[in-house]
Amino acid sequence: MDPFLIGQQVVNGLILGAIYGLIAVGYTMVYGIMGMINFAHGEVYMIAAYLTAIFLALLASFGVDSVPVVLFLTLLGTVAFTALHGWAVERVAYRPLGRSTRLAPLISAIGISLVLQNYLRLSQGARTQGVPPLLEGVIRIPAEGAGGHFVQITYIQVMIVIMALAGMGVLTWLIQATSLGRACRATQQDRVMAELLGVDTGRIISVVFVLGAAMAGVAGVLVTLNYGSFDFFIGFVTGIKAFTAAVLGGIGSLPGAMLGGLVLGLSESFFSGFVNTDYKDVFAFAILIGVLIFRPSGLMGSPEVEKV
Amino acid sequence: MTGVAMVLRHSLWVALVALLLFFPLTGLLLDGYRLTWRWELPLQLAGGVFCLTLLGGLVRPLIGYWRSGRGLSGLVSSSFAGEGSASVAFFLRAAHGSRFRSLVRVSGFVLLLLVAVSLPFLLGKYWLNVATLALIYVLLGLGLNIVVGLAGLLDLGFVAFYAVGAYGLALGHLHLGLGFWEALPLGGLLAACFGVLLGFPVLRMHGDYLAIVTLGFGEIIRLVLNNWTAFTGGPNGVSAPFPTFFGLEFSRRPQAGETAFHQFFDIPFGNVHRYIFLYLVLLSVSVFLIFVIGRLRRMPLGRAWEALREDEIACRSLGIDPVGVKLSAFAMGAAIGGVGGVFFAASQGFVNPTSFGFHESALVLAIVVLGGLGSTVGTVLAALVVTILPEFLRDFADYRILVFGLAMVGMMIWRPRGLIRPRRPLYPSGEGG
Amino acid sequence: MTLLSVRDLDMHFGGLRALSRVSFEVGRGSVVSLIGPNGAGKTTVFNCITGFYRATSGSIRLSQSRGDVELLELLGAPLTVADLFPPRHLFRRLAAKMFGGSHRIARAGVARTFQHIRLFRELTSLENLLVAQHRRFGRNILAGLVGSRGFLRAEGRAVALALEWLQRFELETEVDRPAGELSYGQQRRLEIARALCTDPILLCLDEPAAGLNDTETAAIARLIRELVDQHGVTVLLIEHDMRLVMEISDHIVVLDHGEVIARGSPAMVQHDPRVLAAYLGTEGEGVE
Repeated sequence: MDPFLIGQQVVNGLILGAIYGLIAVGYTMVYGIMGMINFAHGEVYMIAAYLTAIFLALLASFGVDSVPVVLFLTLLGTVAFTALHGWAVERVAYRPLGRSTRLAPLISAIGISLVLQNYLRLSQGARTQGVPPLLEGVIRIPAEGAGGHFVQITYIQVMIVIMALAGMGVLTWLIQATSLGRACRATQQDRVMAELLGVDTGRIISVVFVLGAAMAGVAGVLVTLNYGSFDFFIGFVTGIKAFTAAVLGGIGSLPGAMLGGLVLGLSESFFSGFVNTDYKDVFAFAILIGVLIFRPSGLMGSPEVEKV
Repeated sequence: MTGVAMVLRHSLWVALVALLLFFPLTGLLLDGYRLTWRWELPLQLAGGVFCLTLLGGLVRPLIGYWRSGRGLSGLVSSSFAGEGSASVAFFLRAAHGSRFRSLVRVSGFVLLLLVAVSLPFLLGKYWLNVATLALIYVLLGLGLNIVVGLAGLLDLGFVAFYAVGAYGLALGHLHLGLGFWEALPLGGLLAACFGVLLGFPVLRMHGDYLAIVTLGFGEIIRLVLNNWTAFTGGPNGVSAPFPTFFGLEFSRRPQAGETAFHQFFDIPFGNVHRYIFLYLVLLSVSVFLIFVIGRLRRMPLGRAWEALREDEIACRSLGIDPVGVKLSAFAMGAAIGGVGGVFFAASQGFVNPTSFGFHESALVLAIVVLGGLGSTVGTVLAALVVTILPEFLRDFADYRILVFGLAMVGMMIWRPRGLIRPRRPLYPSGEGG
Repeated sequence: MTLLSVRDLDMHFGGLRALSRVSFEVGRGSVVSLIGPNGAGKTTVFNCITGFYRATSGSIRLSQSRGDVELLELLGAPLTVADLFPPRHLFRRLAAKMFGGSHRIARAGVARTFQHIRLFRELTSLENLLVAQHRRFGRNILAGLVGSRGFLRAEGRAVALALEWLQRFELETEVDRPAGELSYGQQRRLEIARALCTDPILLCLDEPAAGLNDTETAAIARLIRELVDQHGVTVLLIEHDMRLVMEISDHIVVLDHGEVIARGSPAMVQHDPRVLAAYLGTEGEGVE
């Protein structure tokens, strides 16, 4: 097999994996603290894609054309507004729920994701939207191309890797080294106990939704810049895949989410590169089902003991 | 007074946040790479949010007051119940079992049935089609209600079983030469098999995982239907056959050696006959299923479904095999979904993958939730409302999924058990039964 | 005569040893209480017997009319590579894995209640008891659908039995009320009634008097004793209320740190110095 082709798939897979990992963080953090799947998380990512395009167009209409400035402001605005949406989702769809039934949060989540999808469909139209190419230019390895064969990495892809690492770094620092993070971890371990010790768990849940949404915001900016097009339905499939990544890495674990993202991204990229492109989503879902059946606690996790 | 001021301040804050949320996504319309400004829209939306919050804040204390009033009357009656409770219970039981009550119920049901049966003869073809579709959603709602409402398993890929039924008819006709009447039970059976295959590994897991796995499965089925062009016809779809009337075709010119419906009965050919017939078949299947589900709820299996929804561990402590019971609910729901799919394919005469997207699953889930989880009557009503209402309110059709989504959230917040609490089956006690 | 015999029961959670070599016997038609300080492993023993935990090693034998049955075998073990051969063995293991589980222990005749009440809250009291009697009905779904005579007879019997128990537990006025709406004491009683409806040979009660006041506790004590004396039920009991335990137990097993430290009649146990030490913490590791 062509080593350059393999190399190219590795690059593509890593890029894809970094994106999945960033979104998976939101699933894994909410699951860790509330023990439920936030089905609306994929839609939050979709909103980030729209916000990216809107901010890019807004900055262009103000005549801002320095690429780093545009990038920085778009990233800042999108992440801030996506985080606000994440916060609002929790406030509207989760917090007011009583503890009536197990199904309530799940159904509420489905409801809110339908609302978000159709909100965007109605406000921005059902057609596929796009952004202009912003950062053009590629790196080729080897630079000369060995007989027309090379591995190609775009600047955007380099940026994706850097941003994903930076995002994860900031998040890890927040969780591991700040008092807020300590409160988060305490709440994850034992919500009632944390509450008794004076942790405002309601606030922590908000924080977790905001942080998860912010990461999805980063992913939204990066994906939009990379692929250039999106519509109101992208959150659905990407959401399931990111959740797959979270489960692969062991749900509840931050490094697991990143690792799961990379594993999923690489396998999907290899599958679509060497087997079949049409069925790459089927492949990803099959991984999800397979993992849940054979290793529900993730690739590294240990099985849970059932509490009675 | 300060209370009102606080409500006002709170509403202002909420409206401000709402404005911030609405501004970029509704106020700035993407138009290619440019933006069109729409100042008024976010302002209107935020204004609406303000009014609603204000109204809610002002009305809530009133509701609380009203509730506490009721609580007081409840207290009074319960203190009387101390001595008279046995006789009250006896009285209620007698009232329930009275012939009069059941007579009213039966005659109401018969009346409704008469209306439903005569409906296709009164409606034009368009509305007949709407009524058929509404009944298909009734079927789907009933099927999903078993899974979600009774057994408490969140199935987000219900459309997969619907697709299996629909394609079962279309592909069975294409590849095996099956007709509608063979496909009807086979489609249901096939869907049930898919349900068991998917359910067996998954039903041991935590409920949330089931939701996402079924979500993925629904998408897998759609993608396979879309991409496996050689077998399924891909995005172009396949045509589906129409039912025959005891071997009589509904076509104007039957195939050689066959007799058509209008020829046999010696009536002029009418294109609408076939639709009337399909509607009546669908109606009888629906009524039959409503009866079956009603019986099941009073049988060990149906009770086990509900018990499992309430507490799985307690079920195990009583010797109920949770996996088997869940599987039965899953398979039964899937089978009903499959039957619904067969009817859908037959009524459209054609199927393609676009009919089986996530939105379809979401719509059926909305029906079950809005009908009140577990309530058969509620499900039927919700299915009719959800499918027929948009026909009357054309402008509403575009917003319907948005509205249903909001309604689902609202129901879970205020009325998680449904608008009307489902009535529990009662049993005759003592010698009276 | 021995109904249940627990031998050398070990239970490890990861590195934590929750039970070590726990052995005791429950005689037919007696009330046996498990007592011990918090965290002694009482509920763990319960969960092992009723199959909610898989004991690490040991044996739990229940003597039925058809002969003895090893409860641990009913659970089905996780598959390992060694099971692949020989095929007949594999088939048995697979079947055990698929169909095994704690529900089979309940079917073998062990019923239980829970420390935190687990009723089917949306179902009525009567329905709660009917769910427990699911095995009284045939498995024929068709018979139920058409309402065959056999089905109706079975239903009539089940309803009659349920009403009898409801009356016995003074719940006859709450027949058609959802279980979640009952008062706490009523819920406790309903849970016991539900366990009894499975027609158990061994009834395991996990803190039946928790959260009850003195009158209710006395009523429960009387009821348990009546069940044993008049209905021939055997009861295994976990309870913190010592007065209740001493009043109704025939035999007491004292656990501490996952080990049996004493067993015997109430009078014997009451004066056992090790029991006093475990409860009061006078000697032992407290001092060291």
